[in-house]
Amino acid sequence: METKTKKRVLVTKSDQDAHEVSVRYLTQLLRDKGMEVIFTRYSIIDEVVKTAMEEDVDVIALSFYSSGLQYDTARLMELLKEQGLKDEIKVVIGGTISEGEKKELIKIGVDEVFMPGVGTLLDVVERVNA
Amino acid sequence: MKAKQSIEDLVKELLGGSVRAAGRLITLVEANDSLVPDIMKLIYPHSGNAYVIGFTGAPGAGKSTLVGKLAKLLDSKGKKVAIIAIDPSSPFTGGALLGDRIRMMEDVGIKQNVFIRSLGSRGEMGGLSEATYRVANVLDAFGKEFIFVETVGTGQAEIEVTKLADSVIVVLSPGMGDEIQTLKAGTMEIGDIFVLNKADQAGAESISASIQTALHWAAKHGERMPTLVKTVAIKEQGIEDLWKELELHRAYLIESGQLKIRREKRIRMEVCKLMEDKLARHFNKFTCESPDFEQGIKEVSTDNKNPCQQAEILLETFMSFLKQGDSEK
Amino acid sequence: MFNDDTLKKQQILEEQLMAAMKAMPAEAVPPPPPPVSNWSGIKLKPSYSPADIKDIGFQEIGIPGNFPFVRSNYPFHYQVEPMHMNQGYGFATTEETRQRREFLQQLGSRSQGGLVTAVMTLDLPTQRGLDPDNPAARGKVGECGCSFSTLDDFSEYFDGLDITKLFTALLAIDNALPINALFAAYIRDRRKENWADMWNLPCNLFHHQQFWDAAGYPPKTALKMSTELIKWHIDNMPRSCPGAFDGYNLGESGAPPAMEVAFAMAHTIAAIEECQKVGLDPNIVAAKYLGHPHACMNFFEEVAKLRATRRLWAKIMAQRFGCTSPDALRHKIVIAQTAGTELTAQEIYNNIIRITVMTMAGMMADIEGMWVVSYDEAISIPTEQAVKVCVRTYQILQEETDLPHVTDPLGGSYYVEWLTSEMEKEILKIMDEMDKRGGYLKCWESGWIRGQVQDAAFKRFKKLESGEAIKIGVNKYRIEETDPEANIYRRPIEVEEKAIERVRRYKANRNQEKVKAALEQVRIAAIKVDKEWPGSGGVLMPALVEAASAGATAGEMSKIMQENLGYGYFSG
Ligand SMILES: Nc1nc2c(ncn2[C@@H]2O[C@H](COP(=O)(O)OP(=O)(O)OP(=O)(O)O)[C@@H](O)[C@H]2O)c(=O)[nH]1
Ligand SMILES: [Mg+2]
Repeated sequence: METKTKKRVLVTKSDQDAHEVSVRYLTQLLRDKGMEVIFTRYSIIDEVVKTAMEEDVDVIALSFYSSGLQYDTARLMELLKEQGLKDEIKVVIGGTISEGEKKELIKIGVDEVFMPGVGTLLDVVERVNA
Repeated sequence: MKAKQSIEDLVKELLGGSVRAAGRLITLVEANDSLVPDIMKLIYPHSGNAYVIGFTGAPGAGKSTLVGKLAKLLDSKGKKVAIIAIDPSSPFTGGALLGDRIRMMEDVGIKQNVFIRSLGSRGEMGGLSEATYRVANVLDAFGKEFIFVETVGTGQAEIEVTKLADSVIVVLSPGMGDEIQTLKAGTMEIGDIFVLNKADQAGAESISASIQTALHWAAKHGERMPTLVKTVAIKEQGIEDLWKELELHRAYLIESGQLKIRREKRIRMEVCKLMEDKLARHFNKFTCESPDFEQGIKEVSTDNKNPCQQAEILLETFMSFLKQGDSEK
Repeated sequence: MFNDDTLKKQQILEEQLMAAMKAMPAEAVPPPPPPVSNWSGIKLKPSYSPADIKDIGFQEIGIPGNFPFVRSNYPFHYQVEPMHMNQGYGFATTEETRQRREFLQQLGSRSQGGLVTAVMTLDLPTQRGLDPDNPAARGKVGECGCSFSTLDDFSEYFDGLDITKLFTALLAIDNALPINALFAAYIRDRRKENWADMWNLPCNLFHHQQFWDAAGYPPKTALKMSTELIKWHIDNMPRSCPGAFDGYNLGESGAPPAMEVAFAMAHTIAAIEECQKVGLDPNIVAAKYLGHPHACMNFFEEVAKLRATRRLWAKIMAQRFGCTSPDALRHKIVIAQTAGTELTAQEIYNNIIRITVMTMAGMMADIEGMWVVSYDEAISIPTEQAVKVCVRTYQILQEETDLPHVTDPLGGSYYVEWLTSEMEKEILKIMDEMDKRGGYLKCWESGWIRGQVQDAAFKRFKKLESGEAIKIGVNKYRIEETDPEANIYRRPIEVEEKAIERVRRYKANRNQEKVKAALEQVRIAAIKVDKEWPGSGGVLMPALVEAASAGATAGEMSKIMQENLGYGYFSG
């Protein structure tokens, strides 16, 4: 019988941030590409790691519109490392991020960073799926 | 890329309480690949302790919210809870938006003891992922005392969930109105406990009366009459009542011997299912690989043989193919 | 609107035109233009004539300053009172926020009656009712806005300012009641001044759960919160505007113009009805509402939308609520906000042109005031340079051009009057649809509203992807160039540490018994609001003011409210 493994993606954002129409749209695009998408809002970034482990996702896509970027990403990467998941889960971050911050993010192990005005959601889908 | 890890190690970690290993093993048993029998072999001795509660009901009735609140309550009582939440997969792309978890996060997002796993129905009839039973086994071995299963609230899944769960909760809401009428026919028979959620909304009183009447029709043959609990899940009202009802139902199942009967049924189902799967796998192999089969098919068209007869003959061939296959293993 | 004779002549002209077209050789006849619809879905013709507005009665249009106020709320407007500049700002530190306010003043930014606006964005934890020391606030304190949780914070920001000269709005969202209670307590207790002299806009945005996906109060409770805010301000701060007709946030979430107005209107009707339950007079409540619509790039659609909103408002207030006071019948559009979603991160200077078009639409519709967002919004918190351009945009339009010379310059245009009526019909159509679906609250609870907004947003995304909708420099005429680097403001981490330290100190140095007792009163009031409504209308805000006065923090007050009022609601 065929093996039914699907790419599983956790799309998430802070529950304090209400800007999320495009995040929702992204979840649809990912689903339409055949992925299983779990969308959550976290109140504390630590939840994301727990969710990622329980859901055994391949990708974490994290969106920041306005705040929390520095603290939350650093903490996320630290926790993933602690759990030995850093190399197993691809981390994709999008939002209002500057070139300098992108470099910092890549340095701490983030796999893909999407900044405003660079590419479209379709590019994000492609990178998530890659 | 996920690291390759032996299933023995994973199971060891699972038994040691690793959330990560539990998540990984669920993926493996869900994938339904050839590793499944080996995994189940390792896991089975550690399972059989969890109590499984199924939640079903129309889309939007408040199942996820309710499950989240109940899990929160049990967690506060020191019980170990896991949740399996199933949402439909797209029949075209196989993709799925698994949207239940988000409704539970507020309550159990960070609670270490509550394990939530979202599953796509992956094209299963009725939307109850066929792997659910095995996933429940993994969580059982993981030490969870209560496993909540939320299913897609459509006809077939509701029936399926009765095969899987010890107690079945049907979640209704006032918005449904006339649907109560149709419930009498089928759905009412599957519930052990009925929840009228959104009791804060208009029409709750009259609906509750109609459900009460309908419950008389609903009693399963030889079993006790199902009960009705009113809740306002978003406000956490009625959750204690629901828990009390669950405990009563559980006690009843144990005392009356029904629990044993139900679980035997469940085992029967699972064994049949496994046999079916295995059979199907061999059958697939046979039809794809066996030259005898190819030859047999050809004969139908070229030698004008009767397909019925030919099927009988090929079945015989398949039987010996099966035996051979097993001895090879 | 026109007599038969005129219409007849018009018809003859049109027939002649058609005949002439027919007589031309086929290859000389230009192909008919493809049909165009505006964003609200209204089909447009290539041109308009008297025939298109023949059925609009003159009383539907009237004269500026008269019912139904479609042309303007005033007979004279920009001739005597320039458009108000109501931009928001808010930084992590008092110092930066003060500097920005002073800079705006220096540039000549002014709001109504020459007041200075202090529309302050607050950081996300504050908006959610989380004090800086709450673990969930980590990493977000003072980012994208100020952190407010104590009387000390108010002292920091407002000490030394003449409160009667400020037009204040603290964008506190779900935390609006506690924050405004702190503000009131600060004025009364620390400054010993009369809060009745304040011009306050208390951020009544409790409907956001309709279309946002952040948690909120459930619909019925949201209406109660709105009522509490309105009632307290009417009773205590008569100059304030506690009602918000908010289309902006709907628009930003994806609602096209007609839908935006329909949902905002439905909410306002429900909110005014809720106020009636606690004994408030709609004449007074309606007058306290101010408009906060969205302004997008469809210039004429926006002009027509704003005009239609005013007319619809006047009719609804008169007919449905029996309002007679002119102040209630006039819908004052004080903060039309130019759409952030229309701006691009590529070639950011193009945004100046976009903003200008949107601001002009506001002026052409003769509205009271706007919040012109800055051209760098997509990539940063407004820089001084960008803020300067914002203020200059109003000033240039007002003082260098002839736009302000004539009130409602587009009034009487076949197209604009026709479109205004069509927009009104489209808005009513959506409102009717809600009635058919069991009413506004049902549509909110069931997630239907969210679904509508989301579908519209997704449609728009798809059009942008396919190129059917155009963004110059993004999906058309794109050239590869290095755009100016995003200059994103991040507050130094010390801001957060200091804020945490400050709120801890605040909590340590107060009379704990007094705070406890006052918070208990808040709890009792919240339960009353939950269980004994509408009889309990008006009990919550006073309890909050006293708790604030006793030294409770916004987070402590919010927590009690959230626990007792079903916070955490998600629709749909
Ligand atoms: N008024 C009210 N709303 C509720 C209540 N319980 C849940 N809801 C709301 O109902 C909506 C649907 O809730 P869910 O928990 O997602 O329902 P569900 O049955 O799991 O939905 P599906 O998984 O999509 O079938 C959400 O907006 C909830 O906030 C309740 O007791 N009262
Ligand atoms: Mg659900």
